[in-house]
Amino acid sequence: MQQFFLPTDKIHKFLERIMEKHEVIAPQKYEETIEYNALENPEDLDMNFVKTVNGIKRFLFPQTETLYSMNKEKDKISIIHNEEENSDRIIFGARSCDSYAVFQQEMVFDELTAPDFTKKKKGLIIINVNCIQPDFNCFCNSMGTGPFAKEGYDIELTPIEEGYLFESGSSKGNSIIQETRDILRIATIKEQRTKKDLLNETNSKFKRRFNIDTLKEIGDLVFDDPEWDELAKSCIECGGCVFVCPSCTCFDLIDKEYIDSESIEHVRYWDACLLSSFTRMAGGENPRKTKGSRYRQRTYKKLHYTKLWYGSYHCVGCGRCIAICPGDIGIDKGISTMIKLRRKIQKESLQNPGGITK
Amino acid sequence: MYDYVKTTCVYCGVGCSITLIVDKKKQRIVGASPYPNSVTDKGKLCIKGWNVYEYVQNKERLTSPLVRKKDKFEKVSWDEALDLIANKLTEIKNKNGPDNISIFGSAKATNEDNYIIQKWTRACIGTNNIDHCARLCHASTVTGLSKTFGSGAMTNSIDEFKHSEVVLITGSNTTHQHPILGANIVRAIKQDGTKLIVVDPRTIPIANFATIHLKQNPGTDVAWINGIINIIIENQLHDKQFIDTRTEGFEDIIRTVSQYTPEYVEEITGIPKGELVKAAFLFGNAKTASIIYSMGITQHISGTDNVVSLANLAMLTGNIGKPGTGVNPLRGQQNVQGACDVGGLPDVYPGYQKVNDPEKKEKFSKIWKATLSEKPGLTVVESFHEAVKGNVKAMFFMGENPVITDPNQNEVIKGLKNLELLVVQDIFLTETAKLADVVLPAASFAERTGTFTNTERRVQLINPAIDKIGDSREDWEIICEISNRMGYPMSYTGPKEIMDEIASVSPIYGGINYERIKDVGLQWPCLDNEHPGSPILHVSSFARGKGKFFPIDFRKPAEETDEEYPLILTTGRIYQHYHSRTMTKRTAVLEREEPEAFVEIHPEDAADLGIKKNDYVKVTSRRGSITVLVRITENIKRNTVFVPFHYPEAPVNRLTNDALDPESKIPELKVCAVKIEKLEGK
Repeated sequence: MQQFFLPTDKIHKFLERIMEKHEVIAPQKYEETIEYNALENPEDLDMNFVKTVNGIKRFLFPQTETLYSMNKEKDKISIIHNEEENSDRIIFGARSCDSYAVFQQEMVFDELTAPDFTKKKKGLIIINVNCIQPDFNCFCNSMGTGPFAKEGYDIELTPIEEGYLFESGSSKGNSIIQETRDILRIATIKEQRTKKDLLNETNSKFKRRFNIDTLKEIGDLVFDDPEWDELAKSCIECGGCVFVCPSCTCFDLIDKEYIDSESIEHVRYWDACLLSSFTRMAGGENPRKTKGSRYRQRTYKKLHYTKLWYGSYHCVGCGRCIAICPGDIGIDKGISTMIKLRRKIQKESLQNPGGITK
Repeated sequence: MYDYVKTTCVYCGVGCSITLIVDKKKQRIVGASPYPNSVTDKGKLCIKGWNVYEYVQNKERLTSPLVRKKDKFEKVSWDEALDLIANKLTEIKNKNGPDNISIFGSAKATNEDNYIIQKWTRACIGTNNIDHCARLCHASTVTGLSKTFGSGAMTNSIDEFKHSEVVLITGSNTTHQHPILGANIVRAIKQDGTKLIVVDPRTIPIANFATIHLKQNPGTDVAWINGIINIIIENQLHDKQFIDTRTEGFEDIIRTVSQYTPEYVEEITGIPKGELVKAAFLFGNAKTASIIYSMGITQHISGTDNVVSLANLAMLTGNIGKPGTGVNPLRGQQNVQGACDVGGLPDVYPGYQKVNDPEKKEKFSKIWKATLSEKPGLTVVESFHEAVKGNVKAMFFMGENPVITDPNQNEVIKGLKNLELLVVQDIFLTETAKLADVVLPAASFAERTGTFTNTERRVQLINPAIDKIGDSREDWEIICEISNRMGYPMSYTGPKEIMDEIASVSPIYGGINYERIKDVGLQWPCLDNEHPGSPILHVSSFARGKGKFFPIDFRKPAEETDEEYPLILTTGRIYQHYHSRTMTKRTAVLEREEPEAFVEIHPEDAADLGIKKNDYVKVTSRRGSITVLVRITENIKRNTVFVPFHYPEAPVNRLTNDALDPESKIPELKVCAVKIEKLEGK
């Protein structure tokens, strides 16, 4: 694959060009922080961040979304599907963890469960900017989702001196190269080599590292350990870990009336498996009664079940849930608990061969 | 495609910063998320914060003024509604006198709204009958801490618990009511080795982190606090230097507290004497100890006494004026601190300047160019009592729903129905609004600018995310319009100008202006534009000079159990709902989590009554009955039951007692006697 180079002084020109044909979403300053938003002026681009609070999730799977509206006229009920979403969109400046999460969400959502997601994803082009400065909570390299683009992206940019190494990762990426070919130049051998050095250097910067290889075989070995309840004591059931997670997909549906509309709207909103009513049934029975069982469910879902079902851990190692958790029990604690419990069991079985029944 | 709008959460007193996320094209708020650079919450939110956007554009928002005509509400123009209110109030004022009118500000409204409504009450109507729901939550904090320290506010800051060797929490379900602050304490316990003492009749979630959990009988707080003070003095653990140099009146308490031996305290409170001694030593030996309390302390006829007792304990051990110490009342609503600060109370002008101090009255008469009354006004519950008697003829509520939130509901409704004019200004047609003669539609927090003052006295901005709904208006605008029609013109370009006026009349807000508070707010006292704000109060001297000890004796609650009413009922909030549920019941995930009222009862009490899970029971006090679902739990003490007050379908305030603390006039919401009967076939 041909590698190109986008010089720093041509970024605005590049953005201008792609804005001609596409809606471009890019990181921009908001108050004292940075969030992704529709770009109106190329000069508003601000790449001075590691990751944003909200990431790019809200552009494919928003916190609240009307799926269709119902109108009653006399005896008839008509249904109007929400068709407003722009399906020709570029996200510029996505991080590898967030791009990978889109790839994972796509495994979960299909046309039946979330037709709007499928549609939005179909037209979406993701221009990934590789990360060279992981923050304290990042562990994407342990999860195999970063720091440089792995999956879910169409173009990969690597920041090296004076600009970005520019590589396509899909046919959609190729089409962007065609659109902007005159702005790009061919990358030099030196620039291409720099990427590898930069990756090694970035990998050495991670503060959090986990050996997760063994988790998929963990089965229900550590399922019933009291450690889960102990850990989840500080969970305040805010749902934040799920809401900030770029790969979480849980939602609920309600019919709702808004003040600005005459219709009844069928609304999908973010749900969280940490909430007790998530699995509560009629009569108040609840298979996940305790906070410990819910916390364990999330950990297992991310680090065991999804690996079995989809072949990929649905945790991209962005560390957002670590930062957001009021109880300081982000996924890092779930992973280390699983590893710790597994070791404990291995040790017990060594000391007492045949004593483990599970 | 999106607008990201930084603002302040509208639920509890922690005052977390949030980002509202607006779909620009549809002008709909489609989400909320934490704001990462916030100093109060450090970029974390509770479930209410994450969902705070949802009720704002609900179909049931009030969009135009309503006037009751022949028992039905009719939509009318603003002019018609405002003329009607102004004329009727003027008529009552002239015929019966201004003290026949009671006005209520709101801890849910901004500082600017509350400043304007109290100014209107005092300068235009001519009465000090201005109060709000702070009366029901921390009135006894204001009286108790004013007389001991000279200032009725939280002494320290939210971020300080990591500096506390010991935290004592009593009467505060911190994890549920102030979730992010509760999480700070848990973090201090886990990471910084802080030890926790909880004194609460219920095993609240934070009690799971406690070194010692004492379960007192509701309404016996003075006894256990005196007991701890007594043990500390007997064992010479008190801070003699602090007592000598910073306080007065210590000698006066020694004889009183010496009667509270561990044995006597056990008799009153049910706390095993050995446990009390352990708690006293843990607290007394700590270099830094912080006291946190809330409604479990304040909502008693001995509310002021309880607060003074805690102040005694803090002064006794020198735990005032340094990081990780203090007496820290957690304010419930996001702006209950501010509503008090700007004069939403019947006895003080903005900045706690007494209405019966001739000098202050003179000062405000001049500034407001009006004749003012020096007679302190009626408090919330007194107003309802006077309304029943016919001595209050008009009431005006700006964003409060007393039918659900005030004690003794039948009496409240009787009072409201006896009025000549009831005006309710709110964002939804609340249970109280349904009884009104005129209903005025207000703009919500997401549609406007203004400031809230959180529990640590931090004044923070709110910013508009969307346009105002329908014909709704900002609270202060509406009040100004009525005032203009009543012949006392008030005109402001906006909340910013009102804040400048607040700063000019109230020294504690002297240095606060919108430019300075833009990023992270400022904590009062902030005396001038160079003043950096005050994270900790009473650092080198108390607001009143020396801290003052008061000897306090235990008094029994107003109502005791007997053969007919053998159980103690205590009330409170739950994590997922807020007060009368006006906002939270219109939030899908919150309503799904806790859709129904319940009564918590101990398994042994339930067994005695033949009650099992999912039964409905009738709970009856001397004032009324409700029907409610049973929740059997060991987290509550025997002979005590708990019902949250959020649910109009089972309004527990129909049962509660409106007996008042004589000093602060706070009602005893936390203790009354009830009986429980199983309902067959329900």
